[in-house]
Amino acid sequence: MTDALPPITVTATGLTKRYGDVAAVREVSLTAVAGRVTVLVGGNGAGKSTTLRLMLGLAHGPGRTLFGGRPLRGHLEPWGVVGAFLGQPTAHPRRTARSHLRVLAAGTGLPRARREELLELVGLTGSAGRTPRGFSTGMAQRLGIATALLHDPSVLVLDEPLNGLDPDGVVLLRTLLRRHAERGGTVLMASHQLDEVERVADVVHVMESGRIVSAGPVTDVAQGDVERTLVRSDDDARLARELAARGGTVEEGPEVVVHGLSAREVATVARDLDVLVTALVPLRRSLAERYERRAWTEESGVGS
Amino acid sequence: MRGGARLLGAQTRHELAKLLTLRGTWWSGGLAVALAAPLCWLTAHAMSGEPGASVDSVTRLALRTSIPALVCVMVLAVGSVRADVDSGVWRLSTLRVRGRSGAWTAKSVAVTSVAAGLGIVIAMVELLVVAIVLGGGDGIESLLWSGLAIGGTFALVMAGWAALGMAAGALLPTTGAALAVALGLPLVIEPALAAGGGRWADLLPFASGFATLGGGSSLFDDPWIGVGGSAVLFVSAAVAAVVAGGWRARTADL
Repeated sequence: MTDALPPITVTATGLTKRYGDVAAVREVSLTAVAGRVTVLVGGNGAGKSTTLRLMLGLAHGPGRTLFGGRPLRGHLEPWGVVGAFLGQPTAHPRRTARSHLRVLAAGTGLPRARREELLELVGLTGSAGRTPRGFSTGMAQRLGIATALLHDPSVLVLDEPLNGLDPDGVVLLRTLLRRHAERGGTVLMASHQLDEVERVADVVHVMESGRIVSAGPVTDVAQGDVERTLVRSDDDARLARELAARGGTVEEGPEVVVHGLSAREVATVARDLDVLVTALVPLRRSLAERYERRAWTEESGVGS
Repeated sequence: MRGGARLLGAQTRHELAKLLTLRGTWWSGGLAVALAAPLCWLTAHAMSGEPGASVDSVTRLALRTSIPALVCVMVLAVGSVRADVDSGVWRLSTLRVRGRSGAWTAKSVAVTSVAAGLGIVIAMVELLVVAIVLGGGDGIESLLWSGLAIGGTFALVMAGWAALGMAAGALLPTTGAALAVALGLPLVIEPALAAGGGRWADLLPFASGFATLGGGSSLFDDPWIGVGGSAVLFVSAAVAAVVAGGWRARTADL
């Protein structure tokens, strides 16, 4: 299916979930916009999966989620609005992959050809007659992804869809998600595989201890507000001293890496010192690096 | 309202498809029929010499003792709920409808319909076996009326048992616990309470269900009122079970 999807923006407000004394999700508000891939990132227990379940009404708690301005139950055909993959297990262990899709299509008027098309798309045509008991983790993930895509819904909600996928599966999923967003669909995903998130996401929300601690375009969240520049020169020691004196933070090592000064500012300092610069590279921080540093600030976009 | 009915229809088809695409459903049904026939044959032979033994009365007696059918329908009903929840398919099912109550209603309709259909098949098989053993009874017209009455009653009983099994599956956290309760109540707890004496034992759900198949309840002097009263009690228990299961299905985190 290649035609445009009805644009549906998903808006969650004040989602909260407590398990006894533990607050799994605390006043989480977020928006997943049509045409974008929005990803919740965070460690185990950060509250990503619970947030997705709260949004879909599969877990109960204060707060509300609107799909295109209406609750999910306000849509006449919910299966055409949201397709979900919420981790394993996703299918009955004794029902074949083909039957699994047939069962979920029952009563919706979905043609058989669509089920076969999806099985082929996710590379399960040869295993369609097998039950998930004999599936590898990656195959089960592929079946779960096919399930979410079954009715070509506008909104895809996926919880850790990358887990267990082989490299081909990762590329396939990335392609599917990007294509879905390009068609005007909304993708909301939770993942802790940050390198892959950085490749596929437009917007990320970082969760820690049940709260969103940072949110925004993936490049902004990864970079934060600290610039880094790698510089090589014919007098690294003198240049490093001067850069530190001008307010930069210099990393010790085989190369001079300066934090807090732009590449232009570093070049200006070198010119003032009459030092020959042989390399000047603005460094891009990966989302994973940023995550390791846990240097989140209350950036714009949090909770919006 | 029309949209809601269409959605419920679609969801019921989805639930029926879930049941019919599992071998376990066919095994349970097949086993129930396969075990019912020889047990009925034994009952019919034992009763064939008794005065006043008719096709109708012997078939009803055979159905009242059809424990394999009870076990099979309970396994089917408990499994239909627990397997769904444990495999994550219930989450997907609830996302297809507007609210979980609709999903539970559709599942209840599907499971009790399959159980009722199985009940009709078993009743017809037993009627045929008894008619063969007793030598045809009072003619084909009489047999037809008996078939309608007995088939309808046993369909109701099987649907009720299925409802009670579904409730156990929804209210208890594991298949083992749900099966233990669903089978323990009719096969152990209720007989033990009945053995303790007291006419109130006829008020119990499964005793009421069996009483609708004939004989009525000792609580009522008139046998017809006894059957009707038992049916009301049994259906009330089944409806209460579905409502309790629905409450759990609606409030549980998935």
